[in-house]
Amino acid sequence: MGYLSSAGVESCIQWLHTTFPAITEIMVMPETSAEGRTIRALKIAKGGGTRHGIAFLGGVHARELVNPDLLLSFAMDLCAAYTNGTGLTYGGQTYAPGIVSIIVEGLDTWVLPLVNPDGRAYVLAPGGDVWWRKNRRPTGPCTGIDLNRNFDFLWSSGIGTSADPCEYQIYKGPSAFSESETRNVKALLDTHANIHCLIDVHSYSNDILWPWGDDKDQTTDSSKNFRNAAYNGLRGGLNPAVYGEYITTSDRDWYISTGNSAAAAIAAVRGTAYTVKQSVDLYPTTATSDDYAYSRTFVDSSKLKVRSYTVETGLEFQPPYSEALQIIKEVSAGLIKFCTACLCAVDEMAKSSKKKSKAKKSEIDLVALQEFRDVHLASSTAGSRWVALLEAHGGEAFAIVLDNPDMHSEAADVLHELGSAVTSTKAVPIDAALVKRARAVLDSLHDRAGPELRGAVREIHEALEHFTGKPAHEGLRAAERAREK
Amino acid sequence: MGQCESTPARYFVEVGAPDEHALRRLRGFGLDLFVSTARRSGDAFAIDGLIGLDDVARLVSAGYPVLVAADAAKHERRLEVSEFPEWLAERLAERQA
Repeated sequence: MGYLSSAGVESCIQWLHTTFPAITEIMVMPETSAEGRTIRALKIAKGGGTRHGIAFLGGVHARELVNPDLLLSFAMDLCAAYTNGTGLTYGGQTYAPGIVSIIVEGLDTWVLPLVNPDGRAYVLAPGGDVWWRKNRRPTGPCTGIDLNRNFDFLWSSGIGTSADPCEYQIYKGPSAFSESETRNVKALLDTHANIHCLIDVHSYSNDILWPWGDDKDQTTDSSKNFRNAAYNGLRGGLNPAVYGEYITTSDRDWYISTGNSAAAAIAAVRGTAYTVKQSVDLYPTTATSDDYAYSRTFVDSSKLKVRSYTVETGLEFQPPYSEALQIIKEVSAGLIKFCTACLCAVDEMAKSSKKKSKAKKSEIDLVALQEFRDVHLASSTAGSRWVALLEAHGGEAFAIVLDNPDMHSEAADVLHELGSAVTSTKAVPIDAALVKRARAVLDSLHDRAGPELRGAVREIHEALEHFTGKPAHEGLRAAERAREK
Repeated sequence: MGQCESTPARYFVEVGAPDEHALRRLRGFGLDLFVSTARRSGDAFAIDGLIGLDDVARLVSAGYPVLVAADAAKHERRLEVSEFPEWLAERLAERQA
């Protein structure tokens, strides 16, 4: 019983596709590794059409052995559960079949389990260095580049990296994306522009980390951002008086909610506590995969925002395999939460609403709803909070609705009517009867939800009070005033 | 300080520091310290790493307390490896159990 070899990882990818051909697809990465190994990613998705995507990366650092096995095991679980029409159970954490269905039918789930196959092969080889971290490309006098310091995010700054080719751990390479292995990750994001979330799984420390890694986050001064050259030389000091990396309140709230949701799922398996925190914590870093993925949209607004995390699994790089299997189980429970958070629940609800609505109404006007979210909700603290809650928990909520046909019909009708009210060009008051129906749906959801979703449902349930008898914009203002008190 | 292919015995260590600045100054030693493990430990700070005894001595001389936690050789899993057919058989057996 033990860790998969480097070649074994590739065999597993092939087996998954052969065994589950209707719901998987292999992408051969455009470049081989430094030593010429072919690298593959697996997509899990049923059907096509417009949908969000999520990408899971593993094996970036060679010595962190658990994570390629974790991602392949996770892929196997998802594929088997969907094919057999079952849910998933990880210790004390259970997911209904509906959640598996909406992930496979509503999301493109990409698994790139072994970004750095040369490094893993070297770790596991007799005579190799079992604690090797980097890739295996020769750098002149020495070997290897730290792939998680080679991405194009403040690469030139040198924060948390080394320019010494013989540095054992954090040599950043001669240039950003100098390595084929990191270029492959970029290619995955470039080729599949619907990827909306990226999770890079590393070891160790039992953490769930959100951006940014170069300095402490701040939400008040948008001019203090990584693109502004006026702050070159001032980043990385972890002194808010000098610099803080700008992040929007809604993004930060989403990161915290979603991270907490994943941590709660992990803890439910066997009690392991993961800490959800910003990447930078005590040591700044740059040129990492998660910061690069998240930064893309700010550099080029035509690129979709990719919300990203680094998950640090376990309490050592190479636990005994019996312990690795436990880590695999508990973290898999958390990965499901990332998938449901990455779905667009309103999208999924809208797609199903025409079929499910008792009144056979036309489809919900998604474009108008999205504009209401992006313009009006995003510009208020209360609205941003609700958007973050929806994004963090909407997938789970929709899965519960999906499993309950009566709730599904009623939720579809309520969403349709609420959608019409909030997007109408006339100031249509939201009547008390509609609020009562919405609250009834929320009550049903609450009875079936996990603890994190229940908290979100209670918050939305209370917030609806501000909208009774008022047009949506007035309700939003009332909620904002209540929040300020 | 870089390291080449063959390395002397290394140990998993916990390096202490009295404050955040001292913790970050550890970067200048060029050691294999695990950024993700940097933490506040009571009133002080700590970080885990993988270093040889010479580097332990260097850190101690510089005023950093070092706890040698384990011989790294006892924590490697190079022998706990499966090829795919065996790995698959084990995973399928677990799922049926």
